[in-house]
Amino acid sequence: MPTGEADKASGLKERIEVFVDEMKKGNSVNSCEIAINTINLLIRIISQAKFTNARELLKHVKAEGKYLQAGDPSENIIGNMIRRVLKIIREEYRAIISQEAGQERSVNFEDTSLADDEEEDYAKPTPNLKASVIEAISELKTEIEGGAENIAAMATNYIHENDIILTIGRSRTVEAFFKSAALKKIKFQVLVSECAPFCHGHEMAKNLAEAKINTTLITECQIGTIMPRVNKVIIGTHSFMANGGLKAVTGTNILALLAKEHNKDVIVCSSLYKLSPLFHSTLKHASFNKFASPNELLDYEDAELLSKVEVIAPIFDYVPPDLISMVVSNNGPQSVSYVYRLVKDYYHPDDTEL
Amino acid sequence: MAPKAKKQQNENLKQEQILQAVIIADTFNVRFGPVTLKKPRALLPLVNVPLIDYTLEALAASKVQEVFVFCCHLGEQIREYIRKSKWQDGRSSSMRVVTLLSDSCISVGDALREIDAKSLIRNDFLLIIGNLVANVDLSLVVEEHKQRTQGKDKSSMMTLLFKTAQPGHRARCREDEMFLLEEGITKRLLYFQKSPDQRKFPIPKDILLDHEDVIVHNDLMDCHVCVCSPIVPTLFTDNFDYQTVDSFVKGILINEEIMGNKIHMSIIQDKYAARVSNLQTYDAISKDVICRWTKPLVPDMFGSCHEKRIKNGRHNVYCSEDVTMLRGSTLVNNVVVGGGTFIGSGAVISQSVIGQNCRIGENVRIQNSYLFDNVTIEDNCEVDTSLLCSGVHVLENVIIGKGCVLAWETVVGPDKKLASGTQLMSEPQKDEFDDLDMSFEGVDKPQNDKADQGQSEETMDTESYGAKCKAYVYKPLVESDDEEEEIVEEESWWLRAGDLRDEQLDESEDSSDGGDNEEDEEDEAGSDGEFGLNSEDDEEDNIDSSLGFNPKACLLKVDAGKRKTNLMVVNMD
Repeated sequence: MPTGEADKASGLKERIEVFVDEMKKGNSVNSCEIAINTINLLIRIISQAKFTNARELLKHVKAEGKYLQAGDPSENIIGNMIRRVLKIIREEYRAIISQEAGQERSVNFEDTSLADDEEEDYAKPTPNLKASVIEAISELKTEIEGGAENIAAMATNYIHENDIILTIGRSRTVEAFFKSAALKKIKFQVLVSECAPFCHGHEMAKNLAEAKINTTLITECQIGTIMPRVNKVIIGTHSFMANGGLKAVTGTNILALLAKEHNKDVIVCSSLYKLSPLFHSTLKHASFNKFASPNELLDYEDAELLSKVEVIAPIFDYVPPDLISMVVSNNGPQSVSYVYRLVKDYYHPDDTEL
Repeated sequence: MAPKAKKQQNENLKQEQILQAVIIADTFNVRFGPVTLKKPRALLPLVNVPLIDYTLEALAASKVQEVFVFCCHLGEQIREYIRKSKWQDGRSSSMRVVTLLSDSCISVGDALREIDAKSLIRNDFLLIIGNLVANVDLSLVVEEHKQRTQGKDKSSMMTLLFKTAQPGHRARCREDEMFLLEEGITKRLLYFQKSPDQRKFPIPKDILLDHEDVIVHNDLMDCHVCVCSPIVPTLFTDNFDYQTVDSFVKGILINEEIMGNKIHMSIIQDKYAARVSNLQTYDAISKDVICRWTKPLVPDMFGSCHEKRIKNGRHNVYCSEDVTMLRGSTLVNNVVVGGGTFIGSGAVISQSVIGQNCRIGENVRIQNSYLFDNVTIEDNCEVDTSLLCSGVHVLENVIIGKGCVLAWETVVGPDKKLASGTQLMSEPQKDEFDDLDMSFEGVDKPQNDKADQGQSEETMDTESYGAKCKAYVYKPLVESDDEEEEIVEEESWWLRAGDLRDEQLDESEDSSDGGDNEEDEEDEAGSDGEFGLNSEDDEEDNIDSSLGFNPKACLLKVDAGKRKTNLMVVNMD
């Protein structure tokens, strides 16, 4: 038996190593996949952890989580998932304790009072904690997996007959959103901005066209001219900050600014796992942006230009919250000014700093 | 029962072809001068990460399963390093790294002969000579080679890897200036010539007569990576005059008709691969790493680890989390600062790499320089286009001119000015025949005469290097063997790089002094105009001969130095 356990432990270690390595290399692009992978790892970490009380478990998960996050510090999704799991552990612990005490006080009430949180030391032994935590995490996993579908189900509320909709780059959520509307026999037109230099928009346009949606691919520089004709802008995002600001593909900021200028609605489709309790420039928070190789923009062989130019190829834009009309999440539409409240609901303030 | 099981095992072994790679970690020359006397080149930090890590990481990313690292000069250190690295302590199980030590090797040929003697190679393998920095997937090249050998061209011995880079490109090693003929469709290498003179290329007539589709390349740089058939080490054993891969390639090409062996080539288009072969390429490749051409091998992703995170700021400024910077100090652009470093107020650093735990005093100016770990620079010093190894101590008010190299633990100053091109080390140079390591490094011919201006290197020269100095002049070996390798004028290796950036520096100084953005912009606009004018002239120079290379390539270099910087900022967030 002990050898089996040792095997398991080393297997987990290797999985974590592989995950961190992959993140370091920046290979994975699909944020849903990152979320699911992180959660799977966390389930394994928790199921193999040895602890007597919730405090030890929290400490263990935090430490492991920090290590996972180190693979790519600017990848918010990993941090989000770790914080969500920490919150689950706290909640489950409290549920068990209050059950044992037979207290009438509802969990919800405790949730809202910060004073209680500070006193809580999570030190009481809770034998059933592991099982209930893992169950709750599995629920979270199903929620994430079904996120895009849930959002797509609401498509008909936002897409109407003869709409001209502008989007940028490729987002799986937005793609599902459009397809779901098309299935309901709504006739609308989509303009896809190609999102140079990575040109994820090409794939998006192709997929939409295959779903028999009237699709036009445009370049970024055409956004300005096309904006007056557009009814609304529907975009996806990499993640969104605690103030409702977006971390989205390069070009989104200019798109949102132009939409504001022409007074068009900007609707962001995003599952709640993309909600981050951090801000654009939280202290000690690793650099917000990622930078790509200048390869996409400049030929390396060009000897003359190379030493004289500085090429900056950021992958993300920060879009300030006032440029966004609303966020459509898997829990329904949310106004941007309400996002701070969601952060309170989903994350524990002690976990913001991992 | 037993034999049957064994047989089955054998079959399995046959099916699974392991991708092997051989790294020759020694380059058998002294291009790095005093720097490599105490530390092998493979362990020198490039942007604060040892060079060998770049090579190993590139191989791991290419899904190589087994790597042999062949080390000679100070090989023990390399072996020790690899033993402690993640490749051998069980953290990463995907790639097996084996170090091979040999003291008797004096060339790449010897190394391959030794590998042949140990019969380590089972199938097509990657041969990497020197310190490769790459993000290209090498397994694709191996695949290309395999398809060729399994298909029509069974006699293909080797596939050489090249990267396109126009003549005068900063990453092109000037000793490697070469020119070659490729057969268009088959990608076969027809003729190969290394020539420092770029104006005349002799082409054998019969090549042009025999082949219809010939491409002439002058726009390639050698990555010193090749995919070799398993027979290559054997061929090296058979022919003792093959010392380098170049001589091997030449030999194969000359005997092509008799032996029927062929060499092919593969050109990397959009990925990165280059070799650190001298200080000039060290400089260029460091810049490429900082400018993220080598992504994902960039400081904030590759150099950063769990405990020490490196943040990436604007203008390619990478700063470790525990750097202390006093008020008034500026990191201008393309700067990497390692962990634990202290930077005093008023210090201005641009285009440089600072190692870990360095201490930089007040009002220090550092430009285009490379500081390894634990370097101390006291107040009011200036360092320009120089290399300062670990433990170097520069006392107050020292001005270090262009192209200086201060080896391990040298102390200079105070109040002195080092002439450009000075190479110093902390202990007197041993007689070259005492030192076994050095005696076989003597391929080099330095022409740096500035060093011996009437002083013997045995005594410390407090007059030139300061009252408290601990510095001896490094005198590169004069006995130059008349080996086949062409000798390039050494003094230009680094100075040229410095000259190129002169103008650029002026501008960055302007901007830092003024501290005013508008001014800066005006400056840029001004240079823009000039740029336009100059480029017209250039176009004339650039007459593209239909052969695919620029006959006046040399002129380009001169012009490149004269022109001003032109900042292009794309998509600032």
